[in-house]
Amino acid sequence: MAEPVPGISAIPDESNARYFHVVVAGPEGSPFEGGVFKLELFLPEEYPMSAPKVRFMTKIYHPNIDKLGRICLDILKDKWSPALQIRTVLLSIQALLSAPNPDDPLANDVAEQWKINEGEAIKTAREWTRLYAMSG
Amino acid sequence: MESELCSICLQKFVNPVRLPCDHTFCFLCVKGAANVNKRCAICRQEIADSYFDNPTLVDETAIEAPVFDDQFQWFYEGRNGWWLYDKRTGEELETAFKSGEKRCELLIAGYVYVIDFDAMLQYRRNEPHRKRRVKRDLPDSASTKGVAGIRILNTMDVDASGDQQKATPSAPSPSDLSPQSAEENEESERKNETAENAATRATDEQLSSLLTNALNLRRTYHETYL
Repeated sequence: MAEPVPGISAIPDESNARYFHVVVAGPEGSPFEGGVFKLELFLPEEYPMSAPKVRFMTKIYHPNIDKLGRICLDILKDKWSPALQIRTVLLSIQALLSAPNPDDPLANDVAEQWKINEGEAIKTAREWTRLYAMSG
Repeated sequence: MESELCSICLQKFVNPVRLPCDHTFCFLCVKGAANVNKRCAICRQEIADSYFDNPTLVDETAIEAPVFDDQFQWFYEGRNGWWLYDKRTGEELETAFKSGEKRCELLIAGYVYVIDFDAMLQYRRNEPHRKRRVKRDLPDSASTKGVAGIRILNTMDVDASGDQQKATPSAPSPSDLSPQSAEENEESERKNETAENAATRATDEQLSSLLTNALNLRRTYHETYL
């Protein structure tokens, strides 16, 4: 059995064992630090032959996450491997919070801002974290 | 073998095979994964189509098909013969059969199959028109092709203890390499089925029925504890 991952939890839904309620803590040193981000994770019938579907439920200002919470991450798409697991997927998402990649954007306006004025973008990301991810 | 568990199903290896990159998986796991992406799940090295016709078995003596009530085995129909179910699937089938269920659902090579015990038929749940026969029968080496897609020589014997059957696998014989052989390989017929197609199939209804059967969730149990 795998060790628990600090700052990440995934609890299966009571009525649907394929649906997980996920909470990811914003990584230290990132603009998301101190925030608690809710996600939903769904295992399709083909899992693990195809990737889980993951989405941020908490609003987040990040160049690779769009307004609907959809995540631009290669392992959730064409780089999926059936040897990956829920924990490795969530670790990758946590790492994405530490390392935003505006060159491979999903939220174009955010990515643009991140490239033009990173300082301002990080400030906005902090503000959004305070507004939407600390209400808990 | 790099670990005791298959890194695709997260269970003990069933009929493990070694890929050219040296990574080991259950035969049906790697075959199921290859329907979506023909690369090693660990290192992403490409897997040749031809690999599945003649996989490298980790232990040629350990290809098992379970025997029940000291004599019966579970078979599914192939072209010109019958395949034995592997140990894991055969045992799940027997358990469902013995409990008096009319049908059961099993996860085989990444697909959910329905086995109808009244009609003695099996089909993929998403393709109910493509049926093949199944049987619970006495061993019959003459008509037995192998175990779950792995061909074996016709030298199978039930050993004295009666609970295990060992078989000697072989490379495909020339007759096995006929076009028919490729045609009957059901998994390879599905090469065109994309992951996207598959993903859109899962409706809530299907999922709740899946839940009822507590199927396909074995892996999830392993993963629930993050």
